[in-house]
Amino acid sequence: MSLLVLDSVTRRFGALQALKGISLSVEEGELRAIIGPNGAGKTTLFNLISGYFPPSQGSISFAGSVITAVSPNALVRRGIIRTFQITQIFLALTVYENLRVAVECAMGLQLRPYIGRATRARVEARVDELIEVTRIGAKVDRIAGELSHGDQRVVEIGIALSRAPRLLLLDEPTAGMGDEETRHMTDLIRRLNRTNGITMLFVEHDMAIVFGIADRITVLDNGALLAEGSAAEIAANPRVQAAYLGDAAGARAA
Amino acid sequence: MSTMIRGVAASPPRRSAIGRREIASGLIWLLLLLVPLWLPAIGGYTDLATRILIYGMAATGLNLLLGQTGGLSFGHAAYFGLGTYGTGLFLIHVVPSLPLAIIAGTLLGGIAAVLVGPMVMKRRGIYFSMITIAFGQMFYFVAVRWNGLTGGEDGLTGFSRVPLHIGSRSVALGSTGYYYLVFGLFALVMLVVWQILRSPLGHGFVAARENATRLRFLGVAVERQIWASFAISGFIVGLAGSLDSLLVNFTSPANFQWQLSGEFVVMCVLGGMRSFWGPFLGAVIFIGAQDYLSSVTQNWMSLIGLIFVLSVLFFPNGLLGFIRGRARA
Repeated sequence: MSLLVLDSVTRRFGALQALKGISLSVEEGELRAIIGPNGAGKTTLFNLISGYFPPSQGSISFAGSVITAVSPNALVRRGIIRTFQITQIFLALTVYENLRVAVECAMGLQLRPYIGRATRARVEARVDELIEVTRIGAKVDRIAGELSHGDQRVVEIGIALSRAPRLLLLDEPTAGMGDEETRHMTDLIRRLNRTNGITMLFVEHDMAIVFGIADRITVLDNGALLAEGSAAEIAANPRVQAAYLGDAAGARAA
Repeated sequence: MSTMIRGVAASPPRRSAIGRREIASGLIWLLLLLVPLWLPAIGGYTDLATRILIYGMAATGLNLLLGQTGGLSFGHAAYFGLGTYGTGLFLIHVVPSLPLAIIAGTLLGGIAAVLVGPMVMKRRGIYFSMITIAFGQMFYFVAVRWNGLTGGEDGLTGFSRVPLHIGSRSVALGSTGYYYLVFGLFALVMLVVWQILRSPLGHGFVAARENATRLRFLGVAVERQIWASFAISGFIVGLAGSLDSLLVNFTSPANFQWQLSGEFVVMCVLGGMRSFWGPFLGAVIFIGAQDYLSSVTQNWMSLIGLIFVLSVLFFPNGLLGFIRGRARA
């Protein structure tokens, strides 16, 4: 069964049609890339899926139930977690404190002025798991605001993982990163998908990454769905080549 | 008092030096415990120390909201004032019992904060501050206008620190006795605040201050976090108010006014909003300076203002923050 289904979703901002009748479905366990030129509607799509605002028309369903009018908070509890183009972490706290508060909130403890030893141990064990899966162990005691951009993004993903996402939305996860950081992030994304089985949707401009790791690719252009398919299909699609990729990327993927 | 500051100076922030930090804390507690022995020797008096503990308690309570949660309240005098009137009126009209009067004052201040909280928690920044001031002034005008109950502008008199009944014994609380009562409650408040700061609740306060958007997208109702912080700080400030009314056997509408709210904020900023002991240290400086300067000049408030401006310019993280920065460098 498809985990996420969008059925003829349209979103208007005044006179502007940011998304025009988009239909797509994402399977459980899939790693899906969303690409398209600036203004294609990628971030709008994320905002709709994560409940930031509702679609003007059409419906969105997740795990079999319609979520078109569900609040972002409720969606988070159902397992739709996102990251942002601008990294959202707790800059003044250490990496460990970032992950700990995320885990405590995920466990619903955020109003508890006291937790017993057993609960504390559960929190710590979960934080250790997140540290391990994100491989940020060497930097847990560093202040997050002093880390490199790449490491901050990793912390952000660690925070997102605290909620045990069923669907993880990553908005330009490697934007502004150097080669080394990009490779680390790409590895992390692939690992989370392949090893931990997390379904992911990511917006990305780096075609090498998109064609390197995505199971399927959705191409948006000017608010409309231009194409969808495997890396080879997308690379071979003449409309995509004409509208967006150019010859170089087509050649590389082929 | 200078000894106390030096004791704190010895506490660097790094984990490796946690031992020194505990020693500094221990030293503060020891000095506070022995106040009636050493304070007169350097020209102080016990009631001054009691006042410092009371204002230190209020500043620490406010700082849960201000420094930890990031909500700049300019209206916390409201809960202090309610604490003073709650205690005074309880002694006059209900029962002359010290513990019950303290509980009554604390509850009045705290419950008011619980009720006001939902009306301020959705606002941020300057709007948050404006609404807190508005509520503070509202309580002020009620205290001024409701002559029959509050004594209006003249303030409320006619109550006093009744003896404490322990079993069948009746203990009259002189300066020293009352100091130790306040000290015990101060210690309790510090323990509660310390526990909150190391709990998920306190971690959530700090997270709300650092990045409310992030917290919201973790599925947390950030407003509830702010409400909880607001309410707890209201109870603590209410308790401080209650103890203040019993120190001077008097209260007046001045205890509701935004000037007093501002003084609480100044204490937090002076001492350091990000530190556990910062607000208390700020109260030591503020009340100490006020006591000394007001005996020297009528214009003591402008000198306090000058100290505040200089400290914000040169120690933007408060005195404790500055000391820690030096220790780290």
